[in-house]
Amino acid sequence: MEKTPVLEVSGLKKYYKSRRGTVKAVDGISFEVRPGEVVGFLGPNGAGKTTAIKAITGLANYEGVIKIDGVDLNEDHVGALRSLGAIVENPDFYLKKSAEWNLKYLASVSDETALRKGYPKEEKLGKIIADRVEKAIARVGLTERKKSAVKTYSLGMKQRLGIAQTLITEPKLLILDEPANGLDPDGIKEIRDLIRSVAESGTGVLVSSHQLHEMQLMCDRVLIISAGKIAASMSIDELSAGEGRKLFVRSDDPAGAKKILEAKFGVEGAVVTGREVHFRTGAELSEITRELVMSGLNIYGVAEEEVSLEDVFMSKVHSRTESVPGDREAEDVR
Amino acid sequence: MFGRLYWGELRKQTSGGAIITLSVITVVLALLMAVLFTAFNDLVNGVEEDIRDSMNSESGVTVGVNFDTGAPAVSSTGQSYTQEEVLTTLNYLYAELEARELQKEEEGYDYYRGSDYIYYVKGEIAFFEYLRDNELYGVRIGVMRDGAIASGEVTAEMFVTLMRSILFLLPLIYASIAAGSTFADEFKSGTIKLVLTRPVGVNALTTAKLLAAFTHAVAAYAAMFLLLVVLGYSFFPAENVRAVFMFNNSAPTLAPSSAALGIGFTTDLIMLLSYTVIAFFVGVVTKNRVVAIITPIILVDVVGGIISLAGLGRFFISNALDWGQFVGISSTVTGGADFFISLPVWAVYMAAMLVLSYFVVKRRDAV
Repeated sequence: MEKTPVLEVSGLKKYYKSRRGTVKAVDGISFEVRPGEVVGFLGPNGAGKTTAIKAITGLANYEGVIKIDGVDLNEDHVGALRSLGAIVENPDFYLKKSAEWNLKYLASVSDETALRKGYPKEEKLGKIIADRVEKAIARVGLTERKKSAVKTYSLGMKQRLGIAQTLITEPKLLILDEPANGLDPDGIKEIRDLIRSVAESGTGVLVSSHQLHEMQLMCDRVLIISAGKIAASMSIDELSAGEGRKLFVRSDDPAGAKKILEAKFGVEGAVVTGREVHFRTGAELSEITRELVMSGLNIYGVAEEEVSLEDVFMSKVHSRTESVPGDREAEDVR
Repeated sequence: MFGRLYWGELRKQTSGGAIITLSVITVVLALLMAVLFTAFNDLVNGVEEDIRDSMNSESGVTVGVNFDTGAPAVSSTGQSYTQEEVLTTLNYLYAELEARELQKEEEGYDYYRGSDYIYYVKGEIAFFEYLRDNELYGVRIGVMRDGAIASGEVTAEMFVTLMRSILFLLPLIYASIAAGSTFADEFKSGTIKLVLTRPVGVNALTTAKLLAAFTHAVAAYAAMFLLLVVLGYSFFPAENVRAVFMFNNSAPTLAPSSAALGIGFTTDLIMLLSYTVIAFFVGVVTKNRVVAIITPIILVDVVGGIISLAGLGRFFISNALDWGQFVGISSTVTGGADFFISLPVWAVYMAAMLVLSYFVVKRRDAV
């Protein structure tokens, strides 16, 4: 049986008035996030990612339907947010206070039912909050610095604390906006592992980032948003299959090889780089090799390249932005 | 849930630095003034006789002169009146009132514009009629309408009343910072996103923030007032004069002069909470703490002053904020001020600012 989505977005629209008219920051997007799934939310600056996230997290008014764990955000705002943990734009803190204070405060303003989940009924709420805070701090490895003011934390520690804030009530949906922003490679890996472990415990995660390689490693599925619309939605496994295999041929006559590929296999958009020709095709590798050798070219290598998320992103985004000028206004008018 | 939200807001709004700074200033100023009052006690003692001498005692009229208007005014020093003095003074005041009303009719004088002679005379008549009707002859009485009673020596009540009016600015600043910053700071630091993405009702959050700001205002003022009372009664004797409190410049009531402290505390608190609402509202709308803290003062004192000059003062909030004038506590009675006009004006302003605050927070995109 298919799991019920923890996030259902249907026909989400957010328009702004500007001096130049109405800007369609988000223009009728629909998607879902299921329990245990990590969904990447990608798009260039001004594509509408953050605007959509603000609407989903209850920070902005919107048109359309947003359901978090089956609860309509517009009909039951507080009820819907009970299942949500979120970082929007940057993790935010009361900087002069300690990590422990920040977490205790957030726990104290959270829903009691959510806080009591997994604890005996007779347990005192204060004790539950203290326990949850301890666990959240331990989970992100900040136990030793929990009493220090957050303003003394490094960027990486702040990112980790931000995630701890979202996990304090073990939400069913986690939304993270650029969680690896500004982190070094070790920090990025730490965050990735943390997000994967959260997803493995059954939480649905929607994560936006510009770090496409990281998204490819972290996510089960990606949504690409461009000019306020969903330009692509696919699983990481579908990345290669959907766009055809990506190959390269190394030869002492790459221009000649390109001509043969175009003539014999109908290849379009092949790119010559040095002694290599890069192209996409559905043809078999052995067939291509035989044809090139029989044409009298010196071939030093023919191999398959991995299709990256970046390739897909660039192709999807550019095909949309070229047709929709002025798309970037959306961020500017806010 | 709401209790935890309120408690969290209370802790967030607590500024240790501001509390320490304002506490030190309050204690130092209060102690300094207590010492000064003690040192100058001899200068104040005997003032009753001087004032009495300055009145027109030969004609039996026992009123002085209002500094602003030149209208007759009962001395705030505790005095006793004979029946003859009361009746003679009343006749003098009736004649004054008749003459001024005739003048008003002839000149088309605007009754409510600025400080008003007729208004004051009516107040004096109410006071002396009260003495006459209750046969309060030979009883030492002061009128509280002009502030503290000076019974001829420095008293605890006089000290508290005077210092209360001077130091009121400190809890006012503290309350304005708490109320004006509560939303503005969260918008500036981005923590508003943190709170609003929790399962917290927007109205509940707004209420919690407002109540927390009120709590800070009350706590700050109560602490200051308590300090003044302790110092006042430690350094000076209690007042031994009975006082007449004039409600709305009429309807006199006799009470121990120490009642002025309780009334003063209450009216100051209403004013303080009103300023808190203004600062809160401006903080919500502008998201700027500096603007939120400064605006109430500019709005009430500067804009209020200009509007009063235009003759519309009683419809503006500054007049309506000063509750002391209606119960005989303010040092200055605004000419023409009327409780029954100011009450709805105040209520409309406060309600409008509260409703708009809730509306803006709820309807505006948080970020």
